[in-house]
Amino acid sequence: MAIQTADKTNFKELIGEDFVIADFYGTTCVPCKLFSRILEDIAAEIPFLNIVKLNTTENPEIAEEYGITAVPTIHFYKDGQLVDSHVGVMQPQAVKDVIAQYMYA
Amino acid sequence: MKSRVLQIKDYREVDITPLLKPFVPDEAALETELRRLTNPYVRWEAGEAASSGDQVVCRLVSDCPRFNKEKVRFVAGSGMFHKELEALVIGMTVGEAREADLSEGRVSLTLTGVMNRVVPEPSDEMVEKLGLEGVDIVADYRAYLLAQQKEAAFQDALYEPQKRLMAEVIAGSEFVLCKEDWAAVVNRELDRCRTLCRQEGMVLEEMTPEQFRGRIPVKSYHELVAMLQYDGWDSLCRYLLGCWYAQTDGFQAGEADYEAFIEDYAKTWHVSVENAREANPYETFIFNEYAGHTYTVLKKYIREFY
Repeated sequence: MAIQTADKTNFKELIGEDFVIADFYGTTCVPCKLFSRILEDIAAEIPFLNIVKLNTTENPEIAEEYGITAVPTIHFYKDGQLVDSHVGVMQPQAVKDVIAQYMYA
Repeated sequence: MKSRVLQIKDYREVDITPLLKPFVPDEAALETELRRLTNPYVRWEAGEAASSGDQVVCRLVSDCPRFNKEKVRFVAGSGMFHKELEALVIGMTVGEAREADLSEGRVSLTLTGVMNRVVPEPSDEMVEKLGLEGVDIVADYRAYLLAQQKEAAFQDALYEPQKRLMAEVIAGSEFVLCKEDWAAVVNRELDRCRTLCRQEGMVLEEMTPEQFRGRIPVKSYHELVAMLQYDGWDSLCRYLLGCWYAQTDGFQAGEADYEAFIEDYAKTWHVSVENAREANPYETFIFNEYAGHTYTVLKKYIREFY
């Protein structure tokens, strides 16, 4: 599966190319766990999708740099550029709609 | 505290059955969860024919630049690339070409590669790897998921019967309620609010509606006082009931519980242990624990119906 865990040393690199979904989550955040399962389902469906997960509890400096004030926050990057974002749990179809809009653009 | 309970209303005498929602297992959700178990075990195997859900690689030729690509990879039927082309590719074999008239223009699609999605059936080995205590085989996992559904349904249905029970027990019990105890409850909560606001650099009595927003559901200090005075009466009753129940069921809250609470509070709210203690003095904690115990007792009773 194409889910990678990032930290402050590699986050920028991991979101730099192609279409990437960045999931900013917190260690004790229950909705984050729910969204994580949704992402796992999507990753099992689309194995070449790039998904990067960043724990904001352990990496507060990255969270601050990217303006994360609540979790889960989902960023969608295309070649390193933020093209869409969402705060709170996204339903699977909503994620797929964003993928459809940008992955092949 | 001079206030006390003289006689308690037996919650078992309150008919809550009209408020209980029967549990109906959601079989579809259960199957989805079981299927989710296989996610890490999905395999992709090189194949010849494309079915829905398979990864395909195609060559597209078109006057439309979006569909003029030497190599494009997508999942057939996912709807994420192009619905019509994804439908077109289903049933094709590697090397086969088809054409489609899209609103964007005519497209010639040649299937150059297929990776078939192979999803195994949920197995006992997969279940075992979850590492859930007492959950070793698929049947166990199914029962575990069902129990989770049941618990969620219980939590979802709890509010109304618990509210009714609480109201009836308070109304049906006999108390001696002293004004100074009620005032102490109100002032303790007011002090807690004052401390929390001060820790955020605000003065409670001078807070604006904007400062209250998102913190406390009132618009002014006076509204807050009125709210706490209103709630304080029932809080005092709940505390007294909690103490009464504790005498019979052995519930206790003490220093060790307080220390654990403070540690958890500091971690959850990202504050220092000192600030956590200041906002939650020991007496406040103990009061809330015993008041909360009443909820626990009633919840335990409602659970008997599930």
